[in-house]
Amino acid sequence: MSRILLLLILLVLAAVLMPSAILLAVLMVPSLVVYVIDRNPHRYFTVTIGLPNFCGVLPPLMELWERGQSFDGAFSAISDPWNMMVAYGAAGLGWILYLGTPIFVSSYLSISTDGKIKAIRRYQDDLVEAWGDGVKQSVSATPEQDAEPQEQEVS
Amino acid sequence: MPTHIKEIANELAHLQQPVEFEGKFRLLPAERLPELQSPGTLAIAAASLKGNNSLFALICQKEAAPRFSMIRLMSRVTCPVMMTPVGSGTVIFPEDNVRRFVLVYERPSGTRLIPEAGHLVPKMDEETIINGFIHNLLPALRELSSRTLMHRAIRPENIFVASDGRAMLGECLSTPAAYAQPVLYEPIDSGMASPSGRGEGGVLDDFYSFGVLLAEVAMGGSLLKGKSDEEIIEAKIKLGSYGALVGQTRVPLKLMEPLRGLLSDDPYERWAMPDIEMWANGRHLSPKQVPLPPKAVRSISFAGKDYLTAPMLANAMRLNWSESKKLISSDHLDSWVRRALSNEDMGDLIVLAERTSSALASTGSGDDRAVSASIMALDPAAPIIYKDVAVRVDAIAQAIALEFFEPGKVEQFLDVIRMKLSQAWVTSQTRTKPEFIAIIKQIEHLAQNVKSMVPGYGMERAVYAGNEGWPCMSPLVGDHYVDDIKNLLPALENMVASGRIEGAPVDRHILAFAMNNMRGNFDALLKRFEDPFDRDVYNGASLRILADMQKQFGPPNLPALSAHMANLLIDSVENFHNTAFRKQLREAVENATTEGKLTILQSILDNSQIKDQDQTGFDQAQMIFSNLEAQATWLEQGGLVSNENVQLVSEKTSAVISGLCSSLALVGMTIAWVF
Repeated sequence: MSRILLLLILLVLAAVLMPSAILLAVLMVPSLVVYVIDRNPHRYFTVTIGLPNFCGVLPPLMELWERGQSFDGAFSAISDPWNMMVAYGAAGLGWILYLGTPIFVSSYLSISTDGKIKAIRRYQDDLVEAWGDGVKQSVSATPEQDAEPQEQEVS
Repeated sequence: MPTHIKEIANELAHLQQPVEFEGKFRLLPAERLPELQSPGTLAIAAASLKGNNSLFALICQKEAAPRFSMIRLMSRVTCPVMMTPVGSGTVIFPEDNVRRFVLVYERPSGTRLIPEAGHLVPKMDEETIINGFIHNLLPALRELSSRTLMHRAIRPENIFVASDGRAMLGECLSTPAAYAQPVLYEPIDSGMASPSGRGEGGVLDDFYSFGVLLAEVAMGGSLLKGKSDEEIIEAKIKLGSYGALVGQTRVPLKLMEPLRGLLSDDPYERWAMPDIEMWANGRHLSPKQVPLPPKAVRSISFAGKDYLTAPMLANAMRLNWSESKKLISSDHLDSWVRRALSNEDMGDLIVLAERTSSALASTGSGDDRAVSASIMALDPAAPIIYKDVAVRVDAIAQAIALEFFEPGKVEQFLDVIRMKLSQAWVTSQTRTKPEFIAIIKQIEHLAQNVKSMVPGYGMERAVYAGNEGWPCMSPLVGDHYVDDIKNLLPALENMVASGRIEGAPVDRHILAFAMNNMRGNFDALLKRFEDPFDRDVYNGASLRILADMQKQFGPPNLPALSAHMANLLIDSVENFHNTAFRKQLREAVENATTEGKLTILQSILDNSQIKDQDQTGFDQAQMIFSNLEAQATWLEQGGLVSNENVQLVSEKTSAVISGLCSSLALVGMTIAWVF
């Protein structure tokens, strides 16, 4: 229901601000494409591409508004290769960011894994010291190994 | 001395050091006075701290405990011709630190009529008997009679005679009532009862004993000499007491009347205080002859003998239990009673007994009850007879206490109570007495106590509930005479300190004794004692009861007992999971042990609340540990750097970085647009 309402508002806005809508539709093509291919419910990929893309579209959009929202202004902004380059370039930067982050994240996670394991073992040793070897007894009955365990605060 | 009473003089040979008693007397165990010794006691010299040296003390034994309630009453009596205690209570002897019960008396002026039982009684002339015995002992009998106190120890070796022939009644409190009396000196029913089952009886029992004493001194020698107890009883039943004891012997004419009156077998006809006083004042009475039991027109053959009277048959049945069962199962008895004795009422009672026997057949004791009820029907005056038990109706509790450790006796007494033989005895009486109400009440009280056999109740409880002031009979208190619960913990402390208790210092006797004296409801706690093999539960419950006892009655410090209990229960500290808590508890136990505080020890070692807390904490710790282990395993198996996780984290990270950069760009563009 809310989606239909949002679509209606957008259609009304597009109808009222048709030149701006035409400009946005052309210059934000990368974001639209990503939106279509992004299967993550949180739409992290779309956000990563869409936000810089919008920043790139914002200067010609402002110029169009300053010139009074005309179809001529819109078409001339679309036909300006500089505007096209800035908008698509910004989206490209977002794409590069999306593709490059896993390299750094992977390195960071592999470094932090050892630390986390050590902290867990320390905490376990503390528990054994406080409660005796008996606390280990239920380990044999650990839940399924593949399942990601509940996050336990490790001090 | 009667064989059923234990000799303690040799056991106490080690007592030598003087000891102060009640702040009024000095007991001198080194100075023995065998001539003043009562059966089952040790007589030692005593002196008053105020200077009266003509005292002596009797050290009593717990197996045949002194008459607690009678001591209190007798102490108030002042009578120059009867020994009454000037002091009584428990005292610790320093040699072995054992608490013993002591009775202090003034030394009598004369010597015993005979030095000990079995000696021949000297024959005395009429004047000496009348003046030295009857007139001289009247004040004592009057005191006893007016206060309804029973002496129950009137026998020749307990009569002290001064050089001028004046007699004095000896002490009567050091052993249970009539426990040391010869059968000869007891009325027929009391003689039929075992010594433990004679009980306090009544004032008339003393008059009977007095009558036998007069008969013996009048005739000299020993009456019915050479006859066994059973033969004496048989002779008394057959000929009547007067006939059996005096018979055709010539007795001084003046004494015939009191002897007939005092030896009457019918308590309603027996001379009491007014009769003997009247006689002493010169008004001569002629006592009614008590008729002998009616004879049957034909005899009944039983156990190889023929019997013509119902009481004679009843007495024979008492002595031949298994034969009696056969007699009951045949119809001979019923037909003999109806046809030969012509006693329909007695016949009905025997039929009723047989019917009850059939109703109880499933319990396996129906035959025994039928024999018991049949004896009651044949001789209503006889005591309650059941297998080996022969007990007067008011002496059941005393008999249980005295025969508790006799093999098989407790079960028989339990049968007597559960089969309601006391009530049956009361019903069988041809004449009702006002004291029957009190007796029934007492029996019902006993029955209540044995209804539950949970430790703290049962036959042990019957001992203490039915016998005021009876000492704790637990083997755990050793030789200590513990008649007051305040002395129970010190006795246990002493026993533990001397290494004579290894396990829990609580048993069924201690529980019953404690429950009889402690305030509060302990029923839930008593259930924890039901399984003595569950040591942890039993020891924990023992600590709880001992701690409550210390709280209510002291003493404040019991280091040996505390250390012993801590030792028994220290494993429960080790069962705690939390190591820091365990250490704290160990320290607390050590402190409590040093201080001797059982209450603190109990709050640590038998505290379900802290046990639950520890268990809850342990369960949580186990859960956390297991969760952490799962996390560690996941991390070690590369869960964090897996493609999916890296992808997920990267997507989030890139979105955040993109958002931050775009925001900065927007801010920059806005600033540029404005300026």
